[in-house]
Amino acid sequence: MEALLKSLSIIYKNKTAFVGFIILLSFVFMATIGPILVPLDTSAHTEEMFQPPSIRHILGADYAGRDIFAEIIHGSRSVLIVGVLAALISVSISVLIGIPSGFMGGLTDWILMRITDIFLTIPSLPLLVVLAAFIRIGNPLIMSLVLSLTSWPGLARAIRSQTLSLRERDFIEAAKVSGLSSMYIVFSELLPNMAPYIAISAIFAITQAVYAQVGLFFLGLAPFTSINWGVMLNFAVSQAGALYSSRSVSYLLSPIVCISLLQISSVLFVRALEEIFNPRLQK
Amino acid sequence: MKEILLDIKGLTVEYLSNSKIIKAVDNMDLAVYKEDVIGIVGESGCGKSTLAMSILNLIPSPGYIRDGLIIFDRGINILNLNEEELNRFRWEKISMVFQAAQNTLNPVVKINEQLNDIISAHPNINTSIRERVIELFKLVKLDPERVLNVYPHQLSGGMKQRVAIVMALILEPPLLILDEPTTALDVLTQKQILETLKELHKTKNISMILITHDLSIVAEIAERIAIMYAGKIVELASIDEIFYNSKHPYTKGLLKAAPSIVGDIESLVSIPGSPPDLSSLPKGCRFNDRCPFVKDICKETEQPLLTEVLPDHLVACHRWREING
Amino acid sequence: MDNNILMRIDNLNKDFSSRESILGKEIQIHAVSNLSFDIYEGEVLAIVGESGCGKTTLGKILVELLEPTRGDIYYRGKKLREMSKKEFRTYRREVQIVHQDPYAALNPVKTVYQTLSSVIIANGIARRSNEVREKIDELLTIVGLTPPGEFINKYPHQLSGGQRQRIVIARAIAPNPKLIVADEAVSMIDVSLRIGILNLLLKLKEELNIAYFFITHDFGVARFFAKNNRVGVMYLGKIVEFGSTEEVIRDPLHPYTKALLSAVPVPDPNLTRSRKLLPLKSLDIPNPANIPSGCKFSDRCPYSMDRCYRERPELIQVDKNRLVSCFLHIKGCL
Repeated sequence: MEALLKSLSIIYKNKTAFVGFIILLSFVFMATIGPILVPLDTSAHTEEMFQPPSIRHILGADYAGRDIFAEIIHGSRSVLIVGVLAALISVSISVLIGIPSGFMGGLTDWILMRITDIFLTIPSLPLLVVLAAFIRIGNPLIMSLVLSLTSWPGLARAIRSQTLSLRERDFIEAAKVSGLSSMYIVFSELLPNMAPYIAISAIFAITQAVYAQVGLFFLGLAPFTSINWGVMLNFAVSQAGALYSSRSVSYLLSPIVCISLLQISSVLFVRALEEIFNPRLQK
Repeated sequence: MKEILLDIKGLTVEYLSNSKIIKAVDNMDLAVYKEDVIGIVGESGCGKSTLAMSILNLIPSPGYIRDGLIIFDRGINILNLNEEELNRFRWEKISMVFQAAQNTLNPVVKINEQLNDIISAHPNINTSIRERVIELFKLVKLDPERVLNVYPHQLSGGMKQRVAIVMALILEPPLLILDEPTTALDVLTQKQILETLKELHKTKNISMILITHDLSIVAEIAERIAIMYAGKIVELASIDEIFYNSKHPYTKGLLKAAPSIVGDIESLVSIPGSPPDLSSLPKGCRFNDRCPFVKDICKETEQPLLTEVLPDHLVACHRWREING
Repeated sequence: MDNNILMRIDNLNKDFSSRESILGKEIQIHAVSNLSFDIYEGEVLAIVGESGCGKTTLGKILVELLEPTRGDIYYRGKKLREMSKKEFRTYRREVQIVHQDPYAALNPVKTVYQTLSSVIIANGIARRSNEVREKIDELLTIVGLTPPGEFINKYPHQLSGGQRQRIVIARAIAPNPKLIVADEAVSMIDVSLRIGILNLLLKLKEELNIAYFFITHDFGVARFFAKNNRVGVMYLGKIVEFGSTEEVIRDPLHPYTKALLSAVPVPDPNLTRSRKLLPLKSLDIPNPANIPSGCKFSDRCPYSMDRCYRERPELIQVDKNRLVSCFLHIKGCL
């Protein structure tokens, strides 16, 4: 509890990180409670087509007269859930492969890295296209798995590098000599020192997963089961002619701005994370 | 009476830490004469490196020079020079060999190019550089053939340090500052560099400020020594006076605490306590929590001022008379 | 001093391969070269040498952080390679290390309590938390950090350098070791505090019968710590001189030892200014690719003779407890 309060105060003290934190919190709010508070009327109202932003439609209306603001809010849920899930799976796999690989070296390292390399060389987009033809990507869990499949290798390599450099440090050597088991050293000495790196990677992995998802929907590779940011982008171009006319500007920009805000707020928030994890940096 | 080359008056350097103001150097006065070799000796947290950096106005933030004058050759206040004047001043009038100077060489540029860079940055100096370079290389026992046309990583630590010394002297400045020039060097190279500096001083009459934590090193080449503790000078005297007739308890403590290959090892004893925490210094004399001669006066009255107790021998201690009999 | 041999080093070799440049030749660096010596219970064996001589590599091999390329280490008479699990666990407990940099040797995100308790529990010294706490208090008191309560919850960055090194020492003695490898244990400590740390180590030697393998580049520190004990001088992977500390310093036999002793500055201006560096032919250690094929010191030694360039001298006993590897001291050579 005390640690939580201390973390919060650190975030508060760093103004830019605080801004990032608030924005991220808003997104969480948007995805969890938002859809309950703001109802989405999915029926078409042709009389409201392409309405510019007004009091009734804060962000305007889309090509079928539906409220864009409500669509953004409802659309955030699946995007963020899949994003978080994909990031969790991806980071877990990377840690389970990267740390033992870096710490134990030798044959283990060689085998794990060759496996990683194989996955690294598979081009993600064609793989996703092929998978989309065979698997029901509509299911969020499946979608998360598929997305993490292509993102874990890069992270695993990065974590392995971190492990390699930490392994040579005197305090790890001292831990070995004082009789601590390898398992203990990896989890209790090494991992806490990598926590900031892993946490930060996790935050960025979420953003990456959101990008990837939106990309999939935009390219029409995933089924449109419900409205979400990627679907909105797709419709903005295909149905509303966003590339040719200015009438659907807000329809195009709304999801883009949201994704950008997500990215920016992650970057800002991450600054505070570093300080929370490292007692040395705490002023 | 020797002429003063560098006159530091009332220098105070502070930095902000944890919203507290820390005085790394506190109201310091120090004069360096022409052809002087002065050693500044102290341990962690005493402010000697800060002092060195402030002479050339090189204090990085969050530190800043709060007060003081640094007068060069009785005319120029270094702290008042603007950027352009400073760039000319540095290396022409005062140059510096930094701690671990081997790390200040540009790793992707060959040695001769780095030397050329210095020369072209100071176009108003026009003497035969090439001869001087060869002469300096000979002085530091470096083979120009071997060293000029290579990258820094192809040289050993000792060789890089000697290159850094050559680079500092190439424009023949009258004052050279060396900050821990021989740390991280092995003992043979260290001795050679110290002998080289002695040679330099003799032949070129360069003044030197040598900053170190090791009394044995200043014993080799210094003529005067200033002992620093917690941002202040506590004793300032000639080398013989410091080693054979010290007055301040800290100086005595340092001399009794240094293990060496000569002298009585039975009587060696550490100074109790830890190096001072500049953010929470004791009231009164800053050394009072570690001093074996501490009495009430040391804790209650103001910090002792640096006063001349013998000709050219200054001490900052309330009880110097009683302690020294 | 006991006559029991605690550790025996037999023909130890450690090679590293390295390249001069990306496309350059691969060269073998003989970091440790055919070393053989014994460490006795409760003694101090100091090794003096400069950077690149292999002393740190040797230290790491003794605590099994590195594997030797060739050669054997015997602990209490048993070869390390052939030990049973139980014997190895004993070795692991009884041989500990103290590093040079106290800051790097402590986990920055762990408190003093966490660091010490993990070692105490892992070695079965205590298990219940009140016993662990008692043991920690005891250790902190032994190393001079009192009152212990003041230090238990501190992180390394909240302690001074000297205090950190004392924690490192506390961790090293927690498993009740019989041999501590100290690699430049006081080099990063302020000079005014070194004697305090060294005296602490000597006190532990007396009270707990701990032997030290003391690595340093500073002859002055070696003279103090290895008083009435032995010192070895290392150069490019070999021990070139061995003997009692006082004798080696008073009357060095090997030219490299002479050079080192002539170069060490002393805190006495009259004395230090009258000492001249032994005139060496070259100031720098040779490139790893250019190590002389005869005596490794022949390219720098002012006394080198023909034989020195052709043959490599062995470490030979020239007097009671005195060994040197130099042709100048082998009868029939001069």
